[in-house]
Amino acid sequence: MKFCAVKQYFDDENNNNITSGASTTMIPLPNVESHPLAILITYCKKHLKIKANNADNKKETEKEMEQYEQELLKKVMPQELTELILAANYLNFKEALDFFCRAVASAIQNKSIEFVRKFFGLESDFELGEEEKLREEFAWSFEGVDED
Amino acid sequence: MEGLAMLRQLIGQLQELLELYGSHPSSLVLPSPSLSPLPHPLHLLQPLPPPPPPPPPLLSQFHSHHQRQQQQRQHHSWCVLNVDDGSADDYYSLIMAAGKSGNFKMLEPCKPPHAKKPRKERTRGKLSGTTNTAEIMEQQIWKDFPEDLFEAVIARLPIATFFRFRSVCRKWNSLLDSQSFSQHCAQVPQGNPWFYTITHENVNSGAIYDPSSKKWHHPTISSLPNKMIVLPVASAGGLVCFLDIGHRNFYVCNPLTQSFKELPARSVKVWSRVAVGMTLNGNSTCGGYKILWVGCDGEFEVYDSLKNSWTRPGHMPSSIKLPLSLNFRSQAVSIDGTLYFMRSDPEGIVSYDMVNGVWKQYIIPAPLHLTDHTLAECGGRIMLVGLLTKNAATCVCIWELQKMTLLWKEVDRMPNIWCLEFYGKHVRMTCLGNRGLLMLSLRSRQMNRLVTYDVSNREWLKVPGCVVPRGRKRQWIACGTAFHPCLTAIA
Repeated sequence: MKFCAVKQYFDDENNNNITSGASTTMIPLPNVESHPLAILITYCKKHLKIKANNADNKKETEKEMEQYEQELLKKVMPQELTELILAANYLNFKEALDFFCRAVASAIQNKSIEFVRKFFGLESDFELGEEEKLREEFAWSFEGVDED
Repeated sequence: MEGLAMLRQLIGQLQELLELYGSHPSSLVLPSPSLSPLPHPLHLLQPLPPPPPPPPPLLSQFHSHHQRQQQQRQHHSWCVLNVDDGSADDYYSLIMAAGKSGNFKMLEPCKPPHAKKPRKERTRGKLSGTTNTAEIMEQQIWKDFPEDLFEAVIARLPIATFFRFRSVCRKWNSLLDSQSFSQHCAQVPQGNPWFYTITHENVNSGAIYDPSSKKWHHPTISSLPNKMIVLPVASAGGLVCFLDIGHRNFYVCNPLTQSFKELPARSVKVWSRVAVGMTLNGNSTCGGYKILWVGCDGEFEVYDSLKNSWTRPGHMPSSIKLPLSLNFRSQAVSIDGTLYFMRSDPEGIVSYDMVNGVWKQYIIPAPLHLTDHTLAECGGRIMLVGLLTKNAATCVCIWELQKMTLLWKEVDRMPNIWCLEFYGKHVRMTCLGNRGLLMLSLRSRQMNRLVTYDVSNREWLKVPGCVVPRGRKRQWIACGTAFHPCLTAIA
């Protein structure tokens, strides 16, 4: 289900028996900027189109969607990524939220801990020795990883 | 020749970028290869005519030309191709690298990219794949980001990375206790299962294989109490059920976290070998889980995690022939709340519906010359994995159960080249996992080959040898089970 928040709005309207045609309803979206909204709409349309084209073939759908997502990522600005995540979250657009969060996750997954701290503006608030203990406990996850 | 193709590609990408920013390329400098080597004023972003191969000196021409043009471009918000930081050779190598990956990174406006990439990034070959990483490095953007959505991102990190990042700060270290984080994790679709294995060399702790990254992990702190030899017998929802080697006590744990539970003692005080199955009540361990053990004499009991107790829901119907010659080397398979066990004499399957408490029997003749066979399932289809030995040739075969006829039909075989390795040798096989992705451990006297088989796309892959950190010797896999790595599964 895409744009669940918008659908909710329509459902509520129907429940209130407001007789206005769907085409002329104005839905207030105070927390979404126009630019990320445009991108989300394009994403949604593309998703539906790919799904329709590959009605029975789930794997084809996934493959095409992946290709489209890669292309989209190349065109998206870094500032936009946070706006897109916020917008997708507000609109309750699960697929887009999942995609953009995955994009950020995959961007940071091979980075060092220092990098991640700087990236998110976090400080290490561990006590003396706490961090070393953690690194020892999870030493297996550090194997084969270059710390920058 | 190659250099020019890459230059053209670069120009094409610049064209795209310019369209995106809508700025005027008035002072962008690019050489036209059809001109003579003398420095020239520009054409900008004209589609290049099919050119004669330019001599490399053109790039150094560009370099000196560019420097002269530098002042004219001071005020422009674009600073593409600032080659002043390095020599033309660096610029050339930058293009070469970009061309090779076929994916030139999008350049940041207002910031000249380094002509020479830092060595670590270059050797890691990061130009393709995770694009835009350089661009996402803007801290300011993230300062006001709501915490809830942070968790949405962290829940999508690879498992090993999540454990590594627990050292970032206290908040990240305590995410496993956060309800909202668990909810985010539940939203992330499950990937490949991991494999929890016990090696001959080290029976006290497990070696874990991650097929997505093809890496073996050796957790430093075992989730299981020390000095006990326990063998994994079943798994569901990210938890693994262990039985101690004397078939007495059951333990359940999440191999990734310290969540561990010893189950209360069974009411049946017979310690002969049992077959074990495990199911979830709902979609995750939050809804609870059930564990069933069944013995050859038809005795069985069910453990309910919500009540933390064993119950004996009844007796096996008389239609099911006893004793049950259960195939203990085969893991039970669970589909929609029903467990399926393999038996022989008569050959076939017995099933138990965990919800309604009903036993059923299916007589299914086994394929000929079959040994070391186990059940598996994929998408609701029941499969059989086993060794076919004819004359001196051994092969791993996969069968699917035809529900209409209750017959096994061969659907796949291990590639012949791999089977040749076992020609003339006595081979034993252990199958780890029983759903979707299986790990097969093939052992002859001198070697232990590990292979994964993906049932849905029929893909056979080799598994790297299991070696402990700072060790060199490959370990032998004795047994194990697959489990879905789940950070939030609680025993």
